[in-house]
Amino acid sequence: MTELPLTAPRGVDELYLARHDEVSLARPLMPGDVLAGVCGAHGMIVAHPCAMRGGGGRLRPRVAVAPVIAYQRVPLLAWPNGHYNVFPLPDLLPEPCAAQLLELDSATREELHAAERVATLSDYGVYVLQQRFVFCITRVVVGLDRLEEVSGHVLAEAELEEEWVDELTDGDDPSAMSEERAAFQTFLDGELRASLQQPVRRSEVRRTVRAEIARRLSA
Amino acid sequence: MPEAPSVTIRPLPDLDETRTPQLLPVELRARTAELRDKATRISDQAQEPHTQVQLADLERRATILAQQELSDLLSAACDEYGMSWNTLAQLVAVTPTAVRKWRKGQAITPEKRRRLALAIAFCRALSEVNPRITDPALWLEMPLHRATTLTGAALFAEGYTDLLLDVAAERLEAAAALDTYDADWRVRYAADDSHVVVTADDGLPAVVPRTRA
Repeated sequence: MTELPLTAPRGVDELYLARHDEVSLARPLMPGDVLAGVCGAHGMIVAHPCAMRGGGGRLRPRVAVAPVIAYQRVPLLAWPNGHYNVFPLPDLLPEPCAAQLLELDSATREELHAAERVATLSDYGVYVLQQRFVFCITRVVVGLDRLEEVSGHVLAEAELEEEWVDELTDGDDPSAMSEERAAFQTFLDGELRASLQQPVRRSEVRRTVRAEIARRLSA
Repeated sequence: MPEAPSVTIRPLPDLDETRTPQLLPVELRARTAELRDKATRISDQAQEPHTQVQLADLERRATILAQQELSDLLSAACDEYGMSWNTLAQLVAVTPTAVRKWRKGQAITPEKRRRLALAIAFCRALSEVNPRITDPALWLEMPLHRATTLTGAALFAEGYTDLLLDVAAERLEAAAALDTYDADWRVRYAADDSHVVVTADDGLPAVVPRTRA
């Protein structure tokens, strides 16, 4: 068996999907999102993407959040060799900081919806977070490829939902965005959602969803 | 008793003329080795010009594609190939946010436009060099070898288009291409062979140790 070290992220830009004013409101709340105004100051969602939502894609009443604390700057290459109880958040806030993975809290869905998102992680960043979180509480290293197998379909769905809401709303009307989220979930229900679980069918699902977006835009 | 008809019977040829020439094993080995060496030399000679022609063709197509509207290029990637924005961002070596801004009408630099065109030209070439690749986006998103997490998209982002086309055409083993990319790939980008993903009782995927699978 190959010894599998914890991942040293390839670069800060690969870790984040967006930061500060680049964060799209169209993107559904996901693990790795850092929000201002939860856990006292900032908090990071650490719940599994499947576990944080119930029926119809609605957030559960409370969602697990890790507080963001002041923490020393950790070079990317040093991530595998220590600092196991945190997920460093490089180049995010004025002072070096990290999500504290051992002192979890939870936030209500109302808090999360009202909070300002200051960062979202890329798919890769989410897998790195999950890997560190699992290691922090179990001392077991799970490869990013296996984590991707487990969560890839949910993150693919999140990307499509973001695209749907982004294209079909102005991006600043919460009510319209909420309606389009529901419309997306309805469209995806059934066979399409099941297809997303199979990597070999994801590009086909994306084509189908994009064709529907185009149809609705021209209607 | 009637007399037997007279028949002219040709004499048997000399023994040397009937015997199939026999090659000694050592001579046979030398001849086949020579043949293999010759084939290798010819293959080596053909590799460089083939690579150059292949890359020149890709560049030519990218140049033509780069003249198109940005929206058409993005449409080719997303509508034609069903590519994820994350994968497209990786191929063009930008952040997903940059791709989102392009979708919203923000300008693209000439360098990135060319790179985007190259990515689309590459996807078209994939299906040509191997008609069995019907989903170029999937091919790019999958690991190149079961022992690694490295994908075609990762190598494309680093400029290894010639190697990828050879792998796609099955002229080159993926392991050999990965050796060229990084001799340490089996360690540095190792796949997790200790765990497997199964479907749990709730119908959702779960990671379990390989021995329990």
